[in-house]
Amino acid sequence: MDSLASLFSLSTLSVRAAEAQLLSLNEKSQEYGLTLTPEDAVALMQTRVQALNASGRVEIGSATVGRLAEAFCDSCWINQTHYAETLHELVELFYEMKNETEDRVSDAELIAFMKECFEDRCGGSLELLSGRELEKLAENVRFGAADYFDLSRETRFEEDRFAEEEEAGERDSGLTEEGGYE
Amino acid sequence: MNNSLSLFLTPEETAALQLRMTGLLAEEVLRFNGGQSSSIRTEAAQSLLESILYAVTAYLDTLPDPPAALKTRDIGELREQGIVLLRRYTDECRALLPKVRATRVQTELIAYNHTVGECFGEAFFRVYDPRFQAQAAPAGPIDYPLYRDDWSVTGILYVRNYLTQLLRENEFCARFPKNRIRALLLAHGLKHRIDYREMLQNIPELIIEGAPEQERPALEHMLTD
Repeated sequence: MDSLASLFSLSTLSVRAAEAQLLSLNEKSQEYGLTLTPEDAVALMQTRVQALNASGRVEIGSATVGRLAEAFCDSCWINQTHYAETLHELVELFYEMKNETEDRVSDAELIAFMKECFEDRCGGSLELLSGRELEKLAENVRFGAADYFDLSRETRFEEDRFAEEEEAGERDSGLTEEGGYE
Repeated sequence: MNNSLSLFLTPEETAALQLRMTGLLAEEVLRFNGGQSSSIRTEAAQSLLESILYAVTAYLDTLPDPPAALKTRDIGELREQGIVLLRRYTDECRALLPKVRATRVQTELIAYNHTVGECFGEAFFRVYDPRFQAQAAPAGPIDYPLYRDDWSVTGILYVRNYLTQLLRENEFCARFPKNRIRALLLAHGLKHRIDYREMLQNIPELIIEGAPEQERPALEHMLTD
């Protein structure tokens, strides 16, 4: 039975399950006036596939897209005009962050974190979410912070950087080591 | 699709099998992640898929009609049976290893001594995971060639076959004086102008080649099933 492997490949298995789950995306979002057209849903699946490929990941089924839609559909910053576009970016960000956080953050935690930051700290800005809050989360994971989601914590990188800036500032102002001026 | 399996599975059966495998792989991804994530790195997913297929194939190969079992039984159940089988094989290998070492041939053949002494560590059997890495094999190369080696299998299946055969060969070699074995190895090295200790040479093979022709069939029979 050395021919069994020929029946199965990751790409075949992933696409089959995603096709089965994709059409249920609108069930909850309709309550908030947000819907995806069939064309939007197909495009989202393509974005999902591209994002998975770009991040070197595999997902059986499209559970993540559904969970993102469900989490963000009640956002006060999203309207029908930008709904699909926002979901595309969130899907890309999500898979990128799964790698950046070294799979140490669960799907549920990451989606909840993205929603909370998007809604409160970032004022609906995906640019801020990506470049600031999520970057901070990735740093916390890389530097082994006890609480990955503590955004107030300075990372070792920032501590070193602040120390260098402080030292440079003291040099510029002429402060000596003893605290006096030259 | 592989030609041999296409004879036994209809396109509908193949599609149903692939769909069931989809669900099985999804369950394993979640189990692998501790239920925390539905996606994993491609390399990890590929490894999981290979692990599932390895366990299923190992079990199917013990059945009288593997294609029929694949058509009629749930692949998840086949896989669980495969995991039970691989755990049993792991225990068998653990029991074989001390016997192999206790019966080892007293020789200066480097490949033989390295294989018997270092290739099959207890660490491998301790960490071997038939669920998530059924296809795993010992890290180092197994250099010493057997008289009859089965390269159609890999991983723990190969290790089991190898240790079983090596024990059989050790017991075969025990029938012959140590000096005779050393003389055969030395002569073989001289013939090929190499240090015999560095040869990748099977010892029973030399013994059989050095025996009178009429005795060889009986000697060969001792080494095969």
